[in-house]
Amino acid sequence: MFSFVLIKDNHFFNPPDYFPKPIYNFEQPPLDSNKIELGRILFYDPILSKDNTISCASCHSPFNAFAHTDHDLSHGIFDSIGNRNAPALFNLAWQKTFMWDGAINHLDMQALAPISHPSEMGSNINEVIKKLNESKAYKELFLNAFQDSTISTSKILKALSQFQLTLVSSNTKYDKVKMGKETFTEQEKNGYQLYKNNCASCHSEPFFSNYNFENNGLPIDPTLNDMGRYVITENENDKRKFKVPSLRNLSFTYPYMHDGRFMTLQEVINHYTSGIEYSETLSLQFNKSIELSSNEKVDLISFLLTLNDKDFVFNKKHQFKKIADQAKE
Amino acid sequence: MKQYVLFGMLFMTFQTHSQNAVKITFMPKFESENLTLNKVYYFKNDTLNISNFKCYISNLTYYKNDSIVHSSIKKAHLIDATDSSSFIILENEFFKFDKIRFNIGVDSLTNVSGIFEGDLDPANGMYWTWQSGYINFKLEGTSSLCHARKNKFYWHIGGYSPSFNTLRQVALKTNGKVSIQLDKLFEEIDISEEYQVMSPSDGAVQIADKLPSLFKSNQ
Repeated sequence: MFSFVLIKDNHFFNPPDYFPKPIYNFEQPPLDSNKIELGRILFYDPILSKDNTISCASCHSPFNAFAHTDHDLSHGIFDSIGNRNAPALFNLAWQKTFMWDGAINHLDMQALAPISHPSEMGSNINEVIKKLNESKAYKELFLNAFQDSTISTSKILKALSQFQLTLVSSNTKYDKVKMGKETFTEQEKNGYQLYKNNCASCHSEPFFSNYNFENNGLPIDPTLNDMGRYVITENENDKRKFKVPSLRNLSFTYPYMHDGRFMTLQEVINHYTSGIEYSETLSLQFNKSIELSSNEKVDLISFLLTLNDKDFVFNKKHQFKKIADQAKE
Repeated sequence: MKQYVLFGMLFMTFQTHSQNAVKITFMPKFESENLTLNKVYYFKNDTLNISNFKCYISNLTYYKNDSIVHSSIKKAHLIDATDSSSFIILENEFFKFDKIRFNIGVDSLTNVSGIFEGDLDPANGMYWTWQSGYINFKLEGTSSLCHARKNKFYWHIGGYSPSFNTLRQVALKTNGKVSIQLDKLFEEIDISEEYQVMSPSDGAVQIADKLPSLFKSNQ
């Protein structure tokens, strides 16, 4: 009960009433401004990578709703190219698993993966701790955040989580309509109905994802041969399944799909109406084909555009902050 | 005067506890000797050495006449062959026991509960960063029977999901001295076939099944 009150009153994290209770446990430790700011500085600092060239923001840019635009597959240290498209980061407190295949089971543990991955940051947590320990400014930030200047895995990861938990996208036109502050146009209304009939079972409200793993009928790219969730579970039923991405902020997060194969929304919609490839694990929703006239496609897109959250994408509190700026303040 | 008596009593209590506080020693061994890292062992028709050994002991519970007398205050304890102080689990009190029960590895709840400090810190090298989960038992070295590059073998045994659950329970009648007979693993596993296990998998589950038999009471 106490924690519920705490979350509700917290000005760092104040989702609308129609968002369900978060999955993330906010009790240990509760959000506070020093930890969030430390997490923000770490998020933008390439010190996390082996040769100090790649930060979290290199592939998760605030102006792209923390995704990586322009690149189908994300790239990291020494110009190496990964095998998936960097997912957007927002509304993470409601997600049980992370990564396209759900390889990571807790937000706190997520950052360890890119830090250690040889084609992302190519470092490891011990190296990061050592480098941070050599920085007087960081020692001070850790002291302010945790009342203890000993830099540890847990403090680094908790600070990164705290910053990322504040990345809440809940101020789209859709949200404003939901709160009675704005109304949809006729076209958006039609689009909303088409969305409900054709998209909502996987991209469900209010996050516009059920955050489950689904096979949406994408033909396998033979250059990647990516089996998605199956790579983790080795369960035949998980072959070709990927975590359903949110439709929020979709104009900022192109290209689309786990391998960034589609550059435009039009291509995505055409895939659902005429590109679905049958395979044994294809999600049951596709047993009934999606049929949309060209007018309906336009209406659907006009609704989808109401899911863009400009306040979120241009929120200054989420943007680049350098360690030196902090020290001067 | 009263204060002195009280102080004296406290001191005595403290003394008794610190002298007789229960401790369990988990001694990594190879045949009859205590394990020495990087030492060459001649074992059956194999020449081998062990360069790294770490394993988690968790949920340690003490029994006397089949009833629980104590549950260890420590959630999970990391045994690391490079640090002999890690072989000892010290309880802060005295009690009599004749049996212990513990898990080899870290339980599934801990595996999905985010970040911890101390023995469970991922910086200890017992955590998979690319796929969340603790490594329960890690043994690395070289073996003349192993066909891999430079004869290196890697047994990283972990996995907490129901399909690849590698947590194993051990119950032992003991007075506190336990040996971990690593030689037994080389008897049980065909190292020419199974020399590289580094993810939750059927291979990891099969090796996990053999781990409880390594733990022997050493009276």
